[in-house]
Amino acid sequence: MSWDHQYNIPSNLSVRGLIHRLKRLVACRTDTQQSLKRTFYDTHDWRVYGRGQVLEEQFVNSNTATLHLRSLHDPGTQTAETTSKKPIRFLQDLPNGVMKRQLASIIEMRALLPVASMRSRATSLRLLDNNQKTVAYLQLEENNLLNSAGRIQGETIRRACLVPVRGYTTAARRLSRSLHKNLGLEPVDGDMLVAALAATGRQPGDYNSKLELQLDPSMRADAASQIVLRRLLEIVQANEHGIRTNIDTEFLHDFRVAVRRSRTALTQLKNVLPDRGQNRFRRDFRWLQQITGPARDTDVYLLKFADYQALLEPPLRPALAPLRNFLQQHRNIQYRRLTRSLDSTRYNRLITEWRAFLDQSSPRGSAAKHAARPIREIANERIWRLYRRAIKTGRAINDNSPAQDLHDLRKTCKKLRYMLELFQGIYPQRDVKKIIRALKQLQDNLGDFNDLQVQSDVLQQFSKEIHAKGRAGPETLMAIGNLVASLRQQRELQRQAFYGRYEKFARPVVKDRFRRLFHDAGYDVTSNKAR
Amino acid sequence: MKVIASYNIKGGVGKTATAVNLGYLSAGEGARVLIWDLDPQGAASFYFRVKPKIKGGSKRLLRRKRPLIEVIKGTDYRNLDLLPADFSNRHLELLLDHGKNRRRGLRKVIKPLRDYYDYVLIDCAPSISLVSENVLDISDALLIPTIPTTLSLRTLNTLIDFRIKHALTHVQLLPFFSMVDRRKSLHRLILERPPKKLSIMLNTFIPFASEVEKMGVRRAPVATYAGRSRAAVAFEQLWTEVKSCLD
Ligand SMILES: Nc1ncnc2c1ncn2[C@@H]1O[C@H](COP(=O)(O)OP(=O)(O)OP(=O)(O)O)[C@@H](O)[C@H]1O
Ligand SMILES: [Mg+2]
Repeated sequence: MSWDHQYNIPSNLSVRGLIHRLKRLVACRTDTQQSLKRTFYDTHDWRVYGRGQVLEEQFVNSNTATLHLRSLHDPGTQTAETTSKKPIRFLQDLPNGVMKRQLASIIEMRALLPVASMRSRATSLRLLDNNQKTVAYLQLEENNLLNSAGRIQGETIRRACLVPVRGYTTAARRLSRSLHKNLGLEPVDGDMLVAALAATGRQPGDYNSKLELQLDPSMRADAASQIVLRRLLEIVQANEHGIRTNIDTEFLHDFRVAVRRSRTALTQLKNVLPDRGQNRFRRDFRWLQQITGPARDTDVYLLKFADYQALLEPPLRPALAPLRNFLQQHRNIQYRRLTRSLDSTRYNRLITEWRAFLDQSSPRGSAAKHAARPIREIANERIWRLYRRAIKTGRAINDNSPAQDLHDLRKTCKKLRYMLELFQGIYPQRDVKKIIRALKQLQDNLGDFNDLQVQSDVLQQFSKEIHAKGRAGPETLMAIGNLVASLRQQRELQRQAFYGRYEKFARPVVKDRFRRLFHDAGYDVTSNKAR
Repeated sequence: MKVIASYNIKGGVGKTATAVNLGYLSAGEGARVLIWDLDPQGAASFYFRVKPKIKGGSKRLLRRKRPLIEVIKGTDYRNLDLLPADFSNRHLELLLDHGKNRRRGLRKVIKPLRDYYDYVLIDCAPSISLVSENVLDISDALLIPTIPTTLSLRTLNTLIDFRIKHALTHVQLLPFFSMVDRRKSLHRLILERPPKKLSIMLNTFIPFASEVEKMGVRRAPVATYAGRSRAAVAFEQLWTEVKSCLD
């Protein structure tokens, strides 16, 4: 929309003075006058902001909060509003309704965390038409930003915020014009969220699990690898706190993905990075992967719990409750254990020494064989080789192949995917996106096949443990039995679907694209640039 | 999203009063609510001070040329919107009749509203027609204000039969006594011993009250100017009971 919703109230004009002048100009009525606390929420990875939305909670000296979801760029457009008595953290804390549905696709399983707050006085005016019908609201705000310690910081920000009523934009636009022309108010850009964040020293998007690194294709391979690995280390560390405080499942998830990517990079770039210490880091990262595994597994079972229930006949569903309790207890134990590991000397030394390893400036005439070659050449070689290996392994798979063969292919595909993601910055974005999309389809199939296998085995194991501890009756054991059976059935379906997915991935078009990017032209481009 | 229609074959029984007051109450609880004024007389639109006019007329509703949401108006109350009546609603019958799927024509109209609303309350015109059949098709529940008289009860029976005859049994029927006047002996009698067949009657009834009549002068829901009146309390109880029937 091409008109302004927000204005600064100039310092020489009091709110009362402004109301006085407005009332002479247009038909309006003071609606409410209140003191409130406004708190903005988002997930750790800024999913709400990333979708161009703002989620705000308003407390008006009572114990009921109203939640507002609105567009970041059009503060006047209210997307949804709801009242909540419970503090919100997860989707399930929200009352059913439009807002919950909208947030579901935005935040998914992530926790909502307060990111900034302010104390405000707000006077709301109704603009009326000649039927005394409200056609717009003008909210006059005096906002005091709170810093991270909850103290007022900086000067009061005074704003006039125009909120149109659906279907009456003409009236709102007219008011907007006279605010500027007749009252001399200057329009401002951006939601109050942005100003409030500045007071807490935070920046929207300050955490993000994506790599999105811009790399010069002709850069020395060792320096480029260090940049990528440093970014992964950053992600690892940014998630530690959330794991320790057990905020939601995705901290551990992002942590593990970064560790796994680092491991792939270490093996794939073996002859690029300095030799000294590599074995040790490889060992330690494998350890890190192992100790985080059990906690992640219980997370996965709990996230999938609703799906599991849906796989059973309705009357059997309640019988799964003891399994959930078991998983929850198990999860708490695993997280405690994991936190102890994060406090261990081994972990802390790994992090410090790994950082030192990544920070050492690449020595001239480095010992590593490929250290000085352009990164694009190295990335091309490794990606092309992984692609060829994936094609070859996949082609050999038939109905008689053992599950291990699919397992091996899954691992190769994963490495390929990681290498593509780590170094996507040196390739044309669109091409890499297309390639990743083709690969993802195959990966999903292989991943599901593997997960369903592991899940059915582990659930069976859990069932034994629950039984041994006398924690559940025969219905529960039967329900888990049925669940395991239907997971096995699904696994068979995935096995059957493999051939189709593989064929799609092995198509000539995809092959051409790989060849063009990583085999033929790749050398030309780098040789032009680097030599 | 739940679709609730305020409906009766008979006129002047409190359909509009019900849609307007329940819509206001549900929005006040934080739900996103749309009142759809489907009566060409536009009484609901009048109560909300909205001009009973849709740009492009109701043809536009059925053809889906532009999103329905563009003709919706915000009311003076948070979370409560209104789809205004339009004189050309009279032609809705004809339009539906010529449409491809004449008995299910409103389904596609209502579908995009799911992204915006938790409840759609439809204020129907008093008749039994193709339009009402379509309304029944898209509704989860039918609120049926019924004046406690012998004739009204017969009409209610007709409606129950209609629902079965047209295979519209997915709609929950929620009849309740409306405009109850305790001074009238017939009202008292029927209220105290409702006919057996009418065990589906809700417990709440709406008393005959001058506060409800005043809606025409105030052009606002009862609770906004007589929040403590018997009628306002009755509408609150009715909404609570309706909600408990819905889930
Ligand atoms: N509980 C009540 N007590 C007193 N008057 C009422 C009550 N309910 C409705 N009325 C009045 O009765 C008249 C008809 O009510 P209303 O418009 O709600 O009925 P309706 O069924 O929608 O009518 P129509 O069939 O004309 O659309 C209105 O003037 C209204 O103010
Ligand atoms: Mg009416």
